[in-house]
Amino acid sequence: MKGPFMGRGDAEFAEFAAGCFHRLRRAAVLLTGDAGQAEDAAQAALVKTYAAWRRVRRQDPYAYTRRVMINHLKDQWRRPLKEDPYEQERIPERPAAADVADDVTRQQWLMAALGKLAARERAVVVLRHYFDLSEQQVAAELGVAVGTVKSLNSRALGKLRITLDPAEPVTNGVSL
Amino acid sequence: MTDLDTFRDELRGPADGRPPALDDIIGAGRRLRARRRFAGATVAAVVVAAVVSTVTWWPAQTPAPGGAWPAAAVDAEGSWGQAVSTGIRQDDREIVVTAFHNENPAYPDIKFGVRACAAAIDGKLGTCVNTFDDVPPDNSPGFHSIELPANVEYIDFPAYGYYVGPAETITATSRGRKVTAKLVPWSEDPNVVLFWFPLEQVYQKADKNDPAYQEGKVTKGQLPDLTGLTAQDAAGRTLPVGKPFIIG
Repeated sequence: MKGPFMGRGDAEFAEFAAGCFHRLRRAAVLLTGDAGQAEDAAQAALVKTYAAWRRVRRQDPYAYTRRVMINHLKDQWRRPLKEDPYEQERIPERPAAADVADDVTRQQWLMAALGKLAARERAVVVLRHYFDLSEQQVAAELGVAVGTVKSLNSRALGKLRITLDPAEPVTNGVSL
Repeated sequence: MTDLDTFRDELRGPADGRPPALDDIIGAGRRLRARRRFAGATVAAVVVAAVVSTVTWWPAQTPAPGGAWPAAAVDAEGSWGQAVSTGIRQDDREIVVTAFHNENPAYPDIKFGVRACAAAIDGKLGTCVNTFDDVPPDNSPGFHSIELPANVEYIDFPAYGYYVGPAETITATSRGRKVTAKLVPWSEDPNVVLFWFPLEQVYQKADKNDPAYQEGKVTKGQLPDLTGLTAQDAAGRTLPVGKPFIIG
């Protein structure tokens, strides 16, 4: 940080931004599949957080930034007929667990597989399993019912052929 | 380690990439903060301009709320059945609701969806917000997919959805108040009811009375809400709720 006007608040923000940027960008990559778009989304969220820094710094700035970024990206998946851009193929077979050399292959599979999910399913997967939010938190974040989150999560993991932990209850219905 | 644990590890992925461009972020943040400080001063002028524009643009013969949108002029890919007017206007657009053929390959079992579209005065449907069920069937009795209010491409869309059955009255609770939907039978099947809630009843703006909002927190208090959906027939009998699927 070499800005000439860096005050105490800026220093605090800079520390915060440096600490969460990679995690936000990674989440945006998982949500969009596009590294450039992800970096833009993470930076755009931090810009808005800076603008609101005095208001949010004593609360939960990370949650605020995450929410801003999700809203930024959500605007794109809400748009009609662009929600699931021409998903025609089946999700590829998941590579078997193997050595570290296969990490690249597994990441490639991950991005391809996420790209085949519907946008809402993808969002739930990222919020639930990457950000590790509870179903209630995901519901509040996306503005949907908890039953919707359960349904989308179940459907997405099913498509990804992820075997659920027995502790993960599955509900296929939708409730209010 | 379970399959899900492995998947979560994969989501975390490699820790790499360049650091944030802090100078750029803070510079842009300062400019944004400065613009926000002046935003309030321009709102009044924009509103006045919008009102003038609306009055001069819309002719008297446009359909009343619930009335058929001029079918001959409708031009919207995938729309299904008659678009109907909601009476909600912004600038040179009016929000109409109709159904559409859902051909989303991610939901092969869901063939029916409903949409709200910003219609131009010539009848063409512009920006649309689509909503459709997550789980089949899409034609079972009761509520189905319901979209909460949204601002898409600078246009406010109301909460809307569809009900399968002889509903004559649809009510719900939003922010503690009972709200009543406007509804109209779908042109292709009168047993399917399209409905929407006026923006004054189920609104998308932050609830400024919410304690969380007053504390400056970004929480569910800033989201539109819709609970307790109820449908009644002409005799006042309560109809099945079905599987309301609320998308926000």
